[in-house]
Amino acid sequence: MIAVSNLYARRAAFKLVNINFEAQQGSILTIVGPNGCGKTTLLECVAGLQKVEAGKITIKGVDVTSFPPEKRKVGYVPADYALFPNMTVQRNIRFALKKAGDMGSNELVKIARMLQIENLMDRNVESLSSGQRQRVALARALASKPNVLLLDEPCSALDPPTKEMFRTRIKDMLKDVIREISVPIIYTTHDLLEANVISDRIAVMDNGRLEQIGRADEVFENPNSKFVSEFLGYNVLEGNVVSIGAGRVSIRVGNVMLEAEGFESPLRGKVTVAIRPQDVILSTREEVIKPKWKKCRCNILKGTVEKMYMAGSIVRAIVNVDDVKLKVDVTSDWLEDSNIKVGDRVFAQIKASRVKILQDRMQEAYV
Amino acid sequence: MFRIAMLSCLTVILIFFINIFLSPIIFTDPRRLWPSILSDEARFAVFLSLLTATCSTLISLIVGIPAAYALSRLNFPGKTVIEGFLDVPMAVPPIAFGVMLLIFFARTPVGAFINESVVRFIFEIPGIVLAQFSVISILTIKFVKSSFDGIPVCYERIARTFGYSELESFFYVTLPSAKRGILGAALMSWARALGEFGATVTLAGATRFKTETLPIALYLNLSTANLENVAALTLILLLIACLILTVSRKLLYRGFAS
Repeated sequence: MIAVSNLYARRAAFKLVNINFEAQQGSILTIVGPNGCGKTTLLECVAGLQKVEAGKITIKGVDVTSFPPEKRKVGYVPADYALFPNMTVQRNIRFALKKAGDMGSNELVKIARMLQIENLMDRNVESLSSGQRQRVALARALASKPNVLLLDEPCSALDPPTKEMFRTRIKDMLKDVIREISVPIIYTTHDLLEANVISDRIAVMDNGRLEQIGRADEVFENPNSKFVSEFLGYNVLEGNVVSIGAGRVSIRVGNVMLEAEGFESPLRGKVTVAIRPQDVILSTREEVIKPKWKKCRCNILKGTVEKMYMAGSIVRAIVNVDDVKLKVDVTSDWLEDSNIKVGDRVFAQIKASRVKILQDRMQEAYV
Repeated sequence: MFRIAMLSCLTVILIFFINIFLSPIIFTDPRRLWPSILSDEARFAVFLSLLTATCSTLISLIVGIPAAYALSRLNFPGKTVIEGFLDVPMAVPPIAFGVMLLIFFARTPVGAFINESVVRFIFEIPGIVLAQFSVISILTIKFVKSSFDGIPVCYERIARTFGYSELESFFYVTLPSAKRGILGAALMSWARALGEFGATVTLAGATRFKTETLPIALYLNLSTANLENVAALTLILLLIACLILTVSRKLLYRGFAS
């Protein structure tokens, strides 16, 4: 197990602030955040390549905070893989094996077989494709017999179509690794989909701070801050509490009234509202169109479709509701059936229970 | 027209150098040139030049490689000042180095003590090595540093995570990656040491069969108007220079990968 507690570090003007997380043996924790948020710096702190100002890093129960990198037994795969260009694949892996106290070929063969690189062993690393380099870098990190494996954006060097294929492949590779050596894996990415595919747990990072940490589905369902909501692609709106009832609250966002429910605590004043684009349904008719929602409290907002564009496999529509812009995700099939076009008047329907009031602002808004 | 003008300038320079390079061969009687090349004096000068240039190059590599590494990789106070200072010796004439060394060993208490009790430099062979070292060491550092600069620091860092100490990472990762650059630096420094005259003649003097390196032999023969010997020695220097520069160009331009 690896545990990081109250970690502070500084690299030039950038700071890591009060980082706390744990990763169990055989689990994958993905640190996800935009470029420049401190993911690599955090991994380098764990690897001992970046000086720590305060805090504690414990690997397998041993406090390694003051240990130099060579004493930490951390397998690190940097984003550019850093394979030694003047060595063959085999020599790259043997280089790590040598210090792990194993010069025999059994270990080498085992690792090569696991990562399917047996046929690459005599190749020069410069002749390898990005995907092959990724596997060789992972093999080399494993050869050092680490107590924790750190993978820094391993898919960032891949082009989008290759990336798609490698997401699932790397997940399988990591499963094999965990089966073979049950170590905690810390993985970083700025790609939410990748994080979702790879991880057991995710930690969302922003500007040197871990904003939220938890099971991937929990974090995706319940973002706890404005940043996390925005990063996850939610509609994030600022509003004021107008009235409160039993477990429900009315919020004015610009000229739009929104109903939210499922809150136990009374609220007042300014709040931040988050709505997932997939939770908004578009209709040309005013009545609730989803049968399951008929008996629920529902927001029905009249607006105009301003833009539509493909976002991966879905279509994203931007709907203007009294100057409040709502992102709505719909499938292309549904769009074809409904025949909604840019400029059409539509009704955006949102179940009240799917309107989230963010906790960071709730703290301030509690009576 | 533009290309013709450019190529004309290049041709003029080429003709100029071909002329002056060929002049020792064309304007000297070949029957008298060959004995001069094989003369005792020429053989002594070649041997002494190769010996001293090799020694001074080795010493400048031993000191220069760590110094170049420090400048390339480490951060320390005054680094920028030192980097700026490294350019100063390039602009100082070698004879000035010779004068400074001579004053140091002849006039200062520390220098005089070293010269009297440790190693005798003034008018002795170690003086040649020291004079050559003072001229080539900066060159070595500059060449080796640019070689280290070309090797991404990530390789050393990743080696540390595999259990290699800083020293081991340097020896197992950085040095092998820089070996072509270092070899190129060694050859260029060696070539410069072979041709060193100003500092050598000032510190070690110009004594026949004692401190007579190739450039000093050239100078001594020129002063006695022995043109056959001058031509022979010039040819030897020219041949060595061509050989070294051909090898070093091959090393430097083939990149750093082994």
